[in-house]
Amino acid sequence: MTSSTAVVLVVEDDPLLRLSAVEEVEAAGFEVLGADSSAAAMVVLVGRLDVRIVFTDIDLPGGMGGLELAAVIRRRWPPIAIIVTSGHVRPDEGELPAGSVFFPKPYGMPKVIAEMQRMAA
Amino acid sequence: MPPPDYTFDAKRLAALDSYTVLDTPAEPGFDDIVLLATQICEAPVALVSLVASDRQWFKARIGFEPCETDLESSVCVHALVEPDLLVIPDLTRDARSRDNPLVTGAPFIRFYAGAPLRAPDGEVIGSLCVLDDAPRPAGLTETQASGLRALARQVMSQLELRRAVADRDRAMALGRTHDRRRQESEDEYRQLFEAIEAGFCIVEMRFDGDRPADYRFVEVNPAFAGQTGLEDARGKWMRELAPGHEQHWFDIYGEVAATGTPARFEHFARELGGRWFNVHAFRVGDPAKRRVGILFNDDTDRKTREELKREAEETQALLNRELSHRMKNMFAMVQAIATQTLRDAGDRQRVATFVDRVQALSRAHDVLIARNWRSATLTEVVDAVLPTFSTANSFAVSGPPVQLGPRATLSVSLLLFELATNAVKYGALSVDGGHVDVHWTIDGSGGAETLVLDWRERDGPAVSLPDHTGFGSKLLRLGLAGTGGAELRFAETGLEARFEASLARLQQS
Repeated sequence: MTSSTAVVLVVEDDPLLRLSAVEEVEAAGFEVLGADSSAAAMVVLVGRLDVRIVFTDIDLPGGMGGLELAAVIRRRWPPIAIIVTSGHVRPDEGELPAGSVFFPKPYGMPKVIAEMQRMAA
Repeated sequence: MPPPDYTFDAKRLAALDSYTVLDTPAEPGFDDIVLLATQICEAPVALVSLVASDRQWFKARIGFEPCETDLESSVCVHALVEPDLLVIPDLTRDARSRDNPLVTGAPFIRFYAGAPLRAPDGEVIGSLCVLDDAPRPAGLTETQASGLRALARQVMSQLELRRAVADRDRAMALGRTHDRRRQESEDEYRQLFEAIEAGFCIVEMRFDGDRPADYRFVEVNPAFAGQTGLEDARGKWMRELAPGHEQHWFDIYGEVAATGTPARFEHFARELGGRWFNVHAFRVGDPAKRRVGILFNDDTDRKTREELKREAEETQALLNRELSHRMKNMFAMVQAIATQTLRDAGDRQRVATFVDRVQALSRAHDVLIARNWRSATLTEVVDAVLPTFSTANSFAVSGPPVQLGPRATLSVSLLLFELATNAVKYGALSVDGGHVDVHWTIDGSGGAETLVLDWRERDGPAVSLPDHTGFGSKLLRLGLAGTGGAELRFAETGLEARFEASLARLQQS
């Protein structure tokens, strides 16, 4: 796993889901950061230029949802790979930034991690 | 001598009947004639004798008592066949009358002179005659004869006049009846027009070339104002009453006026109180007048109800989506808790299996929520579960439409998930070229139907009975409805499983 040092940002407002996701991704060998809102995620992204992958929920508190966050990331930091998840219905193709991947909740973490490894490769 | 044959001639009798005069009361016009006849002919008796098939009847008489006699006593029958007057100077000496009872007995008549009563069509219906009790060898004088002929013509004129008056009276009576009926009918329609709650009006279209430009109200019923909010519309133009009235109203009525094809439609009228109207329009009267009858109802209430219903449905759909969302988050949390709780248990494989089962359950809930938690079809369930496996195109699925209740939707989902998982791990789908037939049928009928589902793995490795005590194995043995009915056979080419359950049980909510 040459890519295991890649940095992953997990954006999830539910503490339990965030905790679980962070731990599992860490267990897969990534360096993992957590954020509970788009605003917090933006603070992390502005401060750290080495984030390689963002794994974000769509339904986030505050004014900015996960889809807007994904759009902003695609515009400002094009190299960052994006994985989107939601308990809502799958977003339309046009709503997701190009190159991003969607997993419906409840997601199977092994599949998400496999995707992250592919992206980091 | 018997009456001449002509007495009984059908056309002659029909001519007599046409005057409908037999057995009617005396009338002065005829009485005057017989009076003049007695005076002109200086005779004591004069009669207007009408000869029917069984009697002669006197419309007027002087000097003679009976109002009718039988034909044996009639001399007039012999006058019927005379071209002109019949004059018999001495009745006792004429073969036609000598045996006549009125001659042989009282009142012993001796002289007869009769002028035929000839109808315009030539038929002779009787005679105007004078009688005397003494013979008159010289008959009538020339003056008397011409006077009697003239009076006979007067009798016919009177009869004609009488018939014309009767015809006129009958026609007038008939006309009065028609008038009365028409009046009644008009009154009834007027009442209907006044009383119905539906709005009704008759309009007259005005066209600019081919384009319907406006219409004027010729008639409006009392309900009209209440329905449209237009007061005193009669005689006014629609454009002046409601300048912004939508053009489609004019177009539709114009089409009806031009083609005569009735129109039924529902439409919104912003200027008429923002109401919906249910309308039936049809052409009335002379097409050249371009008049249209319009019967309509304010349909806003029903429209509002439909609107409310649609809103309720939208709200329900929204709630369903929200419920689905929350439930998936809940499943995600259950997964996270389990993963974290078991992460040190050392058996990652079991955790992964648990997570997979929760996901299968989540997808089954999705199917149910899409159907308002009522029921799903077996095909929907199969389509929700099997395509999640990467080997989805290795499944051949077939079977008739079957509805499943919410419980069965969940249990069947878990069962199919377990079967597919096993096939991928150990069975036909664990090797290239392996495939699975999923086929179901309904057996029996009339409330005792059974759903029979066959799962047949083909071209896979030989498999043996899995661990009996495992949860997956228990799930399989619970069957479609959780009550058993599972039969598992491990054939050379893979698992062959048959599941049976009562359809009624599967459809319970």
